[in-house]
Amino acid sequence: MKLIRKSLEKDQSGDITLCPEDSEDLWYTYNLIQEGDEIEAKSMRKITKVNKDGVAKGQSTRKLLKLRLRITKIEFDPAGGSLRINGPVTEDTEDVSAGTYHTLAVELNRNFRLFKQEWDLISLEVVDKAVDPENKAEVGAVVMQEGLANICLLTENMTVLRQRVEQSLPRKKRGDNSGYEKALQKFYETVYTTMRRNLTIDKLKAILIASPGFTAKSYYDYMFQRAVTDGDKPFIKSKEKFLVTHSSSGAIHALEEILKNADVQRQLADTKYGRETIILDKFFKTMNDDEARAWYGPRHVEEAVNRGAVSTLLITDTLFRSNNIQTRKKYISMVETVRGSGGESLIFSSLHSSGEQLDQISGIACILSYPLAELEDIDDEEEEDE
Amino acid sequence: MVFGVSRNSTYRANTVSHAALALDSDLRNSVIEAFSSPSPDDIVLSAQEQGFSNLEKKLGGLAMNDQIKKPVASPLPKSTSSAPLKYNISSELVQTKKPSLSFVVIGHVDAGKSTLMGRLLYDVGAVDKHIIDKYAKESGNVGKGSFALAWVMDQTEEERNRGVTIDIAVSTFYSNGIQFTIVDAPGHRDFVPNMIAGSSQADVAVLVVDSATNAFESGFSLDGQTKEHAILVRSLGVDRILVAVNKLDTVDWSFDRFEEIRIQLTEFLTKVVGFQLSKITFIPVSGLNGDNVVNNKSDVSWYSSKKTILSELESIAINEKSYSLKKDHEKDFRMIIANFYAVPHTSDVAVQGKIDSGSVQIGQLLKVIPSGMVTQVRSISPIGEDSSTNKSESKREWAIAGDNILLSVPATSIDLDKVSVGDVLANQDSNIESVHKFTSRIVVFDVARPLLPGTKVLLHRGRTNEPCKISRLVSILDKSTGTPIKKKPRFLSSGQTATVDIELEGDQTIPLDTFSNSKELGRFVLRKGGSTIAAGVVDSLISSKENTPSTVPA
Repeated sequence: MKLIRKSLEKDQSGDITLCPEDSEDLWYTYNLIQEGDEIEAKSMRKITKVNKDGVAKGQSTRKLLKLRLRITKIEFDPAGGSLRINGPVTEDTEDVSAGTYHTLAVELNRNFRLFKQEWDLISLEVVDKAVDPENKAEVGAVVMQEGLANICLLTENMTVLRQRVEQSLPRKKRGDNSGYEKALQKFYETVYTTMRRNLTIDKLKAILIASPGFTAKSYYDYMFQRAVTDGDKPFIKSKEKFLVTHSSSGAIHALEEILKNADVQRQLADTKYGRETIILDKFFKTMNDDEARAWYGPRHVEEAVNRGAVSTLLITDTLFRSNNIQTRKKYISMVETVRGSGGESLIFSSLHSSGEQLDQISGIACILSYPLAELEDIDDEEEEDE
Repeated sequence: MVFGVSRNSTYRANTVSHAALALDSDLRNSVIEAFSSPSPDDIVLSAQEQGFSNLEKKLGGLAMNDQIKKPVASPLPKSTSSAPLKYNISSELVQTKKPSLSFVVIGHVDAGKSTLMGRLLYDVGAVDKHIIDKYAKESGNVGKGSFALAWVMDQTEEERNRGVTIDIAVSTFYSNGIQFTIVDAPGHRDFVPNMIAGSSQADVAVLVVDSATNAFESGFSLDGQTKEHAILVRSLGVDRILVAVNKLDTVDWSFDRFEEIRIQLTEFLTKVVGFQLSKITFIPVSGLNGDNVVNNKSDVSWYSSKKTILSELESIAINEKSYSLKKDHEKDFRMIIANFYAVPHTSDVAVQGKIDSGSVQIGQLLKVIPSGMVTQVRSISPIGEDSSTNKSESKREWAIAGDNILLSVPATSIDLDKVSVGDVLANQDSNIESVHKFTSRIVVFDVARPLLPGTKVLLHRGRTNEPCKISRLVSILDKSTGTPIKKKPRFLSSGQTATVDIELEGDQTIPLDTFSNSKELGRFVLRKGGSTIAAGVVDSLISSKENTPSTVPA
């Protein structure tokens, strides 16, 4: 993301102009905008001239217009890489009068200007992170088992499943096994071509190949044997980017344990998701060892924060996307309180498996520096309305 | 006629296909030579034919043999269910049927499971000596001479190169008229899912432990597979276990060593795993040398019971697992598909599995769940060999609950892309549901991380596994009474019993039934990060119809 212009008032209101450069930036934008904000950007709109009676005259034309809308609806599709914003236009233009609804797609390499009543701590942090070029490490992963491969892309904030390859292999049987061996070769081939189509190898920092047993290793051997036959020199050169590792299954959630693996950690040490995985695991471990030191749910965590007992606060960005300003403020103040008292607050991306899991337990959890067994008495009915 | 002939050609088919693989003309000649004279099998066979004439008479007496027209091949007849079935699988018929028994071989990696099973098949005559000689030569060439017997089970290149079993191997042999189905399971921890698949097809488990110094201990340690496998088979409904204390030849058939292992394992199997003491048998064996596998080793003074693996399995088949005791065949037909493939050079698709309940016969119409495709049984044969090489007369006419079989169905009636392992074959009118979400009771094993709502796990049911999550913790249950003691717990930790909701990932569904309706379809195991974290049974299905917004136009 490129920061084009920033003009904030003393009361934290103002506008920032940004230019998204890749799909990762759309994710940052998605976390930045909220219902009620206003956005100004160029967008296509179909214009039909009308006469006084409101009857259309002449042909409708598509025009590129600069429009400013008040946001009422946000749609984000991480896999497709699109972010669409809907709302009424706030300023009259020659072609569109104020109050007309318009849907605007945030597009790459096209500036947008975002107006907020208040640029709070979290939103400014998002901007800072988004414009930091360091935060661009992307990693590919092929999580597989015989007959199944999940080809994913891990960016700083997202785990995107690019393609799933599923093929039923005949099981081994006594006697003739050629059917199995043949099907296995075909499976490797499919995975290979799919991987080449879905991952841009030279842009990635590393590619993890993981499976239970020997599948990953066999596939790795297949890839480079194939590259040699094809004379694919650039691919052969990228050999050191590939890391064969172990996972207990080919399911996509096995990524969680892959990221915990020591070898992988070394490669990805300073990435955000590496950090998230470690912290979440620490939370589970604490819960297992000393349950009075690990809590989840907004009420329990809030109480623990108020008592100053929190050493690590885990919170997902989903909670900051809340439309209720009061709720958002509450979470921001929790983050600030914990940081103020020397604790750590980690904001999880809900598009990584660790954040997804944290979302399942209400999106907020904490590790305490000392046990607080009395939190057990807090009733958390509120969050359980199904 | 049914059994006798099928038995013979099973072996023949096998041997020929192996020999063909070898492309070794000497070997081929010798095989042909061997078959030109009556083999020991043939002698047993003729004896059996006489034994079976009784059954034949009964069949004849029921007057069902000839006047029924042959089942029509594809395309399927349109008026479907009206065709009367050829056999009425009455209890009378079942009584006379010789038992069949499926057993799974489990244990820590390198305990010698595949070797032991290779030995069993060899000694019982199901594998020809020439094959073993060939394997011995080939494995010797790559410096793995002791693996020759294991190669009978380990067929893929990868397994042979690495000397590790990866997938289950299913094989059939006969002894005293009993049809045995061996499921050889991998011991390596990465392949536990395959082992679960194998166990779900078995009535009995043979737990192989390595008695060599320190080997038993490493298998029995916390990380070893001896414990995990034992717990898994029990969780999957196997209640009879045979412990083969293997490699006793490496410790000079030491009685002390055998006793040491027996005492430790008995303690563990009864107290931790929950086997009844009377359902555990210990047998000292050496798979490599073939001692107490089929033939008793007579010079072990302290081993007085003289039981061998085979004799004990036979006694279990006759005394404990016979059809007349189980009655499962009287229920509706259900079979979880364990494997399927297009049979080369024919228009058939072969479907393999163990019949969970009910019976099936040639010509019967069956439904594949969840896809709903209807198909018709063309032939039934025992598994463990390629059906395409079988002569038509070796096929069976019917099979009942407990049999591990291979069904041939017309390829035109089945879209292979829409079938997956773990689907269910059932009667045409069956109402088994494929669900996305269900409520279950689970027992949490030793876990290093507690189970929270949203914990992602792999659900293993039979041959399949599906990623899913524990979507809701309903309550913690009292272990002995089963009554809820705490509602809406924050988390579950080791040893707790609880009611939870489980939801499959995405919009996946899996055919399931409540445990009270079906033991096989209502039982599952949960694993995470390569270890087994819980076992459970399905309490109730949460209908997928309620969850999906109906898009049916008014």
